[in-house]
Amino acid sequence: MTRRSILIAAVVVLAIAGGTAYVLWDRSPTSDATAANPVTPRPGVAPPPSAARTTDALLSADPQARRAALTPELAGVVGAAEALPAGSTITLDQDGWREHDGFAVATATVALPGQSARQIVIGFQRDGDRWLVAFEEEA
Amino acid sequence: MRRLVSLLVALALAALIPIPAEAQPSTEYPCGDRVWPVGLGGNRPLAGSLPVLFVHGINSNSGSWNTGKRVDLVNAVTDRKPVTGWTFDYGQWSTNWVTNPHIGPALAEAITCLSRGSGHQVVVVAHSMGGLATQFAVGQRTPDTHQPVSDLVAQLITVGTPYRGSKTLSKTKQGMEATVVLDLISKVCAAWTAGGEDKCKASLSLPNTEVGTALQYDSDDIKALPPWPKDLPVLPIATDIEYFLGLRMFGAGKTYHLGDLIVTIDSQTAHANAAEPDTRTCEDASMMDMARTVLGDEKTTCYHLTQLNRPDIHRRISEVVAGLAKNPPVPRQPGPCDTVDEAALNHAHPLSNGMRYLNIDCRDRYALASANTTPPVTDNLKLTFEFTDGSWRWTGKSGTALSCGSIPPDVWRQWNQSCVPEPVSCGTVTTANGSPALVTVIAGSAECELARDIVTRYYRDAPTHGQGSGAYLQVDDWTCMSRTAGDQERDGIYGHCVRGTDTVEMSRP
Repeated sequence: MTRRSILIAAVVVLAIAGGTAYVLWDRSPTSDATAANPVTPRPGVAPPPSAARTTDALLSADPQARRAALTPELAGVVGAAEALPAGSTITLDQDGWREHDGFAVATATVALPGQSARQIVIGFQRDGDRWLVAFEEEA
Repeated sequence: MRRLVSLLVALALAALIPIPAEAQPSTEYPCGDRVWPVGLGGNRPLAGSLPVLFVHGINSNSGSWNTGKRVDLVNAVTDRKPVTGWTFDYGQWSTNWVTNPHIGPALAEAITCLSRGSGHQVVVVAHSMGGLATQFAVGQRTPDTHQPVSDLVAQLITVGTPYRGSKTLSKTKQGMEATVVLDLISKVCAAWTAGGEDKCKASLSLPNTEVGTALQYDSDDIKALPPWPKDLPVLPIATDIEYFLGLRMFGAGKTYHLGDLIVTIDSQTAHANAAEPDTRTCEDASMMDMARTVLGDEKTTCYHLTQLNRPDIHRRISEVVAGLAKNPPVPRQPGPCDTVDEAALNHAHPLSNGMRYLNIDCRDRYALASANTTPPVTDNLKLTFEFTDGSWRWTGKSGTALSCGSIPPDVWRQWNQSCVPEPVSCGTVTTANGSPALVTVIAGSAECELARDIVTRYYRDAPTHGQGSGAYLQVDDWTCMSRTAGDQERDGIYGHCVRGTDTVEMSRP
């Protein structure tokens, strides 16, 4: 009886003391509701063929074709951009397509004649069965 | 053994007995359990110190000042005598607007306590909505001496405070040029992350709560906050993300200024009187960096939730506090307006036995007292007093709708009261039938010269252009009319010209 009583009493003391300590400790705000908890990126997959057709259109010598590859919002700020030099290429990475709810970000490589290739990121907005470029920037 | 069991049980029961609040260590938390010591100055006594009070923003709590790089800011600011650091916590109520008793009014109490406990004015460092909570707090008065709480504050430094609300997060965005970029960030954020789509959405929109409504750009709630005290030095620190939207490989596009993504620059810097607003710019930001920062991966220090991590902002705030620490400012001594009390006003105006004064408000040399008497006359009786020749005197104005009198309009506005302008007689003009008419401004603020001009032109043109039996006629932006002959004969009032709240009356001289 004695050992058992001591054990029970000790458990009670520890439980109550622990609970009290928690309550007292919890009165002090130590966490930040806005603290950053980084989210992992979505796994990249192969881009759809229509996206590649869009990037091909960006390389066109025809200003109308280039403009048709852009979202109206981007076309509005880009204006009449000069064409890239003949021989330039834009290659979408085969594992760099991340898509959600009609919007995608994709990594790609752009190569201009006589220059070293650069990694870029392209934002795509779905428009029916097409993907239009919403922005482009260096990776 | 039995004793040991009894002792353990007694200890356990003792732990259950609540400890009275008064028994809490008073030196450690002298201003209650929502004002916590923080930083390197946390161990110094409050008395004689220069208290620096850190006030957090929406969706946060005072623990944020003990988190990440904000610790560097707090330590840099409090790393010198006689500075002590304190945090004010309203995290439990941060879905409410700053007028909530647990936010603005409680902050006013915290400032008052820290100032009185230290003997010095308080420096307030506020992030985001904490600046608006402070705006409310410094517009209050201490309950005992009626002293403006702003008298107890040496300096307010805000970082990312939406002085005008958040245009970025407002539902309408009010024709905001950068809307296209902000929409893209949200989409890129959701496309990039796995399972964080809700976080993207929540991070870039106002919550559907009381505070979410209040933080709409130029909201009525923000406009209703007390005006900033003229003498309170306020330094706004802002961050601005510069983003080039376009096709970089073509070198074509346009540069946008996005503020801190949550608050635009105009709102972050809308109020400043200590120095020019301090704006830190993050040039050449990328869409991916902004999206990843929203997700918690700090890629730009100009974002609303990362701006307090910037060492240059830490340095600026530290420099301001260091300057004040050399000679900590003491609170302004209460003036006659601050010490006005029931006894003083009763002495100045002993109208009747049993008179009670409530909600005494005082600005400059004027006091407004809401009062009632025994037996009650009305619950809305108000009396105004003027402090002249060293004492309070009744201005002779009392009632439920007080005339404006000699009390300046801005004082009435500070009281949040309206007043009834006294009629202003503007002399006579000649009516259409050649008889004289007295022109009187009975409402509004129209000048006599304008009133006479409008009425003169009305009587000139009414016979030929007036419409209907009332001879209605538009004269500039005024609408004028004449009453029927019978009515004119009965009370001598010929007609009126009206423009908004301005009313001019034509009557028998």
